Amino acid sequence: MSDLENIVGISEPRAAKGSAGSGEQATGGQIEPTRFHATVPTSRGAVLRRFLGRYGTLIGFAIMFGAFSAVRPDVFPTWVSIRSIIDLAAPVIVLAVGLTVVLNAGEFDLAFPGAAALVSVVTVQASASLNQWAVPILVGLVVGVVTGLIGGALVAMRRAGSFIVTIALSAVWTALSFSLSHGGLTIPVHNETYLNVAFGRALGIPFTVYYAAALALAIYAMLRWTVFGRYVRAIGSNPTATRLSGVNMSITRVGAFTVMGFCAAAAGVIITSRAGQYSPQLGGGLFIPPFVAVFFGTSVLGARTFNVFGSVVGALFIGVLQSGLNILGASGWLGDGIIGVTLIVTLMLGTGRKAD
Amino acid sequence: MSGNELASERRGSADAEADGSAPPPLVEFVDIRKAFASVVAVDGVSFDIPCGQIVGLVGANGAGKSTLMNILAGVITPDGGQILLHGREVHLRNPRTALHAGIAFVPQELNLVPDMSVAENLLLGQFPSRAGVVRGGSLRERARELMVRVSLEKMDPNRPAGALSPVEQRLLTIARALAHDPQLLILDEPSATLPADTVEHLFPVLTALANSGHSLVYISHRLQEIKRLSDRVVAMRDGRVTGRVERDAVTIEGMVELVGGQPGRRGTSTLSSRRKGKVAVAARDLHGSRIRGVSFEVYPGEIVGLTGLQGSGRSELLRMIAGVQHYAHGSLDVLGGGPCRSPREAARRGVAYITEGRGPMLLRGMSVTENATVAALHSFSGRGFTSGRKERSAVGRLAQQLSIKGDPNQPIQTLSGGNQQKVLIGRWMLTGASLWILDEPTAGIDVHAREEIHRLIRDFADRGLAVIMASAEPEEIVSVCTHAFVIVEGAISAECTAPLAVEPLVAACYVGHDLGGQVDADRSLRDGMAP
Repeated sequence: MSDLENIVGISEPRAAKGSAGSGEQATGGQIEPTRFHATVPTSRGAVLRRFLGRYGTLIGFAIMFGAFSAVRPDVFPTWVSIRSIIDLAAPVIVLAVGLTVVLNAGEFDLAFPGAAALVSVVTVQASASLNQWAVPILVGLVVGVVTGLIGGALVAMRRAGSFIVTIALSAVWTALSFSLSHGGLTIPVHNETYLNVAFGRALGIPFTVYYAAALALAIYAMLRWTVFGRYVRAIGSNPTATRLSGVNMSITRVGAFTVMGFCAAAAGVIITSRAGQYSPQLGGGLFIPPFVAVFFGTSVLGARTFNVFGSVVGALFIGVLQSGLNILGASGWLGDGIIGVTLIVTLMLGTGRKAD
Repeated sequence: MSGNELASERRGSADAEADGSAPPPLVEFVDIRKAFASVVAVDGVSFDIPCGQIVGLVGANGAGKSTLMNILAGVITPDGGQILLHGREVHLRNPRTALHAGIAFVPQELNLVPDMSVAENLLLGQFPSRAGVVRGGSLRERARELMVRVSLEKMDPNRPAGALSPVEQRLLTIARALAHDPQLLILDEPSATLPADTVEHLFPVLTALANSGHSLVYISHRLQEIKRLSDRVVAMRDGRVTGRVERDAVTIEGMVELVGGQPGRRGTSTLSSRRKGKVAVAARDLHGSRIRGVSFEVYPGEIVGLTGLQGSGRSELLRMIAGVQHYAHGSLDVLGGGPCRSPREAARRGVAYITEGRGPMLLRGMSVTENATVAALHSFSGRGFTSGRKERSAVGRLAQQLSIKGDPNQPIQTLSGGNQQKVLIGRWMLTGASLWILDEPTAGIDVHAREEIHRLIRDFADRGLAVIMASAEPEEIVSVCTHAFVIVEGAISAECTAPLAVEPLVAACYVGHDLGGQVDADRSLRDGMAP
C-alpha cells in the first residue's frame, strides 16, 4: 500500500510545493492535479481530514457492521453469517482483483460479465454431457483465458479504446453464451463433485473462500513482485514513458486482460457450482459490484490507486451490506441503491481532482 | 549595452508625463520581477508600450518574454513591480481583469473548435441569444463586423473553422481577441506555425490595427518580421531588457547581438582531430515532416549539439534516431544496425533517449527506484520476479554517483526537477547505453543540477560513448559540446567545430546563416572537411 501521505509529511518543502504554474510544471508540458496537501497538516481539522482519508472507509465499514449487529444481535455477528457473507462475496472478490490488474494497466474491461457467462455455459454443458467435473472446469478456464487474450490483443492494436472494444466483446460473448444454451435455456448441473466445488468445506470454511483468497494473494504478489506486474503499473502510470523505456507494451496489455479473463472464468465456475445451474441472467448481475469494489478500494487506507487489498475490502463491504439488508428483510434493489450512493460519496470525498 | 544608452532610453514616459506635453503611454512596466522556485524568469523589467504602436519583443527561449506577457495578460502574478495603464497602477489578478482593462492575449496555440463555424468560433462564450436560443442572424452580423477588421470580409461565416488555411485561422484568432474591444493586443509568435510565404497576409492587418489606435506587442523569433513591422523593438535576455531600439535604428545584426548569449563565451571542449571507432549515427539526406534533407555523423566520444529555434525540427530529428518516429526517406544507421524501428529496439541496441520536458518520461506515483530500473528491469530480476535487493543496491550506487537527493522509496514527482532528470539519466545508465540522445536535458533545472548534468554528459563522452543533445541555448551547446549543428527550418544551416563560440551559433539560428565567424555555412565546404 502506498504511503504517499507519510512521505509528503516528511519530504522537503520543495517537493511538497509542486503547485501548478511553477517553472518545472511548465516544462513538463502537462498540468497534473496536485495530489498532495500543500503543507504538513498541523491544525486539528487537517489532522482529522488526514486521519479520515486513511481510515474513513474502514471506520465506515465497522460502523455498518456494528449497526447490523446491534439490530439483529441474534443473527448478524455470528460465525455462520460471516461465513456466508464471505462465501457470497467470493465471486465478486475474484472479479474485482482481476479488474484491479486491468485498471492498473490504465485500461477498462466491460466484457468480463459476458466472458463469465460464456464460461459458465461451456462448463455446465461439458459437465452435463461428460458427467465429469475436472475436464469441464479446465475447458472453462481455458475459454476464459482465450476471451482475455482476444480482448487484450484487440486493445493492444491501439485502434480503439478498451472501453468500446470490451463493450463490443461483451455483446459477442453474451450472444455466444445464448447460442450455446439454445437461446438462453437454464441448464442444471448434475455432477455431484462439480456442485461440491463451491459447497465443499475444509476446516469449516467454504472452498470458495480459499479460491478467492488464493487468487487475491497471487495477484497481489504479481503486481508487487513480478516484472510483469511492474510493467502493468508502469503502463498505467505513463504509457509513453513505459514505451520509451523499451517495455513490450502489447504483451503486457494482453497479459493484463488474460489475467482478467482467467478471473472471469473462475467466477463463472464458482457461480454455476453454487447455483447448481447455468441461467441466462447470470452475466447481468456481475457487472456493477466488481467495479464498485475496486473503486471503493482506492479510498481504503488512503491508497488513491487501484490495489488488491482495497478491492477485497470493497467486495466484502458490498457483501456485508447486501447480507445485512437481506437479514433485515429489505428488497435487493435497496442494497444496489445504497451501494451506488456509498461509492459516489466515497469518490467525491477523495482528495484527487481531475483536471479539465 | 552601456549604462549611458540604458539611461537615455529610460527617459521615456516618466519625463513626458512630468512636463505634461504628451499623454502617458498605454502600458508601462516598472521594475517587474517574477521567479519560479529558484529560477528567476523576469528580473526587474521596465519599458513602455505607446498608444497605437507595434512593439516587437525579441529574445531567446527562456529570456522571459512569455512570463512578462503572461503577467500583462493576468495569467501570472508578478512578485514585484508595477504595471501602469494610462499612467495609473493596475492589478491584473486574472485574465478576466486584464481583458476588462483592455488587454487581449492571442496565444501561439490557435485554440479553435474546428467543427464549429467561423462565426461561432469568433463569439464563443458570448453568443447573442434569446431565452437560451442562439440568434443566428445577429451572431453572423457581429461576426462579419469582426471579420472586416482582419480582412476576412470575403469569408463565409458559416464555414467550419477547421477548413480554413493556417493564416486564415491565425487571423480568426486575432478577430476573436478583437471581439472584446481591447486597446492592446499581445500576439505570441503569431507566425511560428505559418508557412513562410503566407505570413505576408498578417502584416497589413496588424498595421491597420495599429493605425486605428490599437497597441500591439508582437513576439517573434523571425527578426526580419520584427524589423518590418515594429515601431520599436525591445530585446530581452535572461529576464532583463537588453535593449530598446526605435524603428529607424533597428538592424538584424543589432538584434542578434541583443538577444544572443554572453558575448565572448568560448567553449573549452576540443575534439581530437581524428575520429575514432565505428560511427555511432550516420544520417544521409534524412526527410521527415519538418526535417528536410539532413546528413551528419556522430562518432563515439563526441558530444554533438543541435540548436535552432523552436519548431526548427531539432526534436523530430532526435525522435527519428531514437526510433520513436519514422522518417519519410533518406538513410539512417544507428550503432551499425540500421535505423531503429521502435523505442524497444532502440533500447535493446543501446540507445538512451530522454525527451524534452520530463513529463513524457516520468512514471508518476511510482517510486524513485521503480523509475530508475524500469528500462533495465530484466537485469534486476530472476524467473519473472523482481529482486528488491539488487534494485536497492543499484539505485543506491546510482544515487551516490549522481548525487540524487531523496529517498529511493518516495514517489518520483516529489523530487525537484533536477533530481528527477538525474533519475531519468540513471535509468539509461543502468541499461549500459552507448548512444545518448538528450532533448533539452537541462531545461527548467536549477543552475547547480545543470552543472552536474553537464559534467555527467562530458563524462559519457570521455568514456567513449556518443552523445547527441539538443538545446535552444547556445551557451549550453558551447559549454558542453565538441561539435554543433544549427538547424533552421528543418535543414542544417551551419556546422561549428570546437572550440565553439556563442555568437556565430546565435547568428545562424536567427538569420539562417552566419554573420561571419568560424561557421562553415556552406555544406559542400563542411563535407570536404569531414574525415
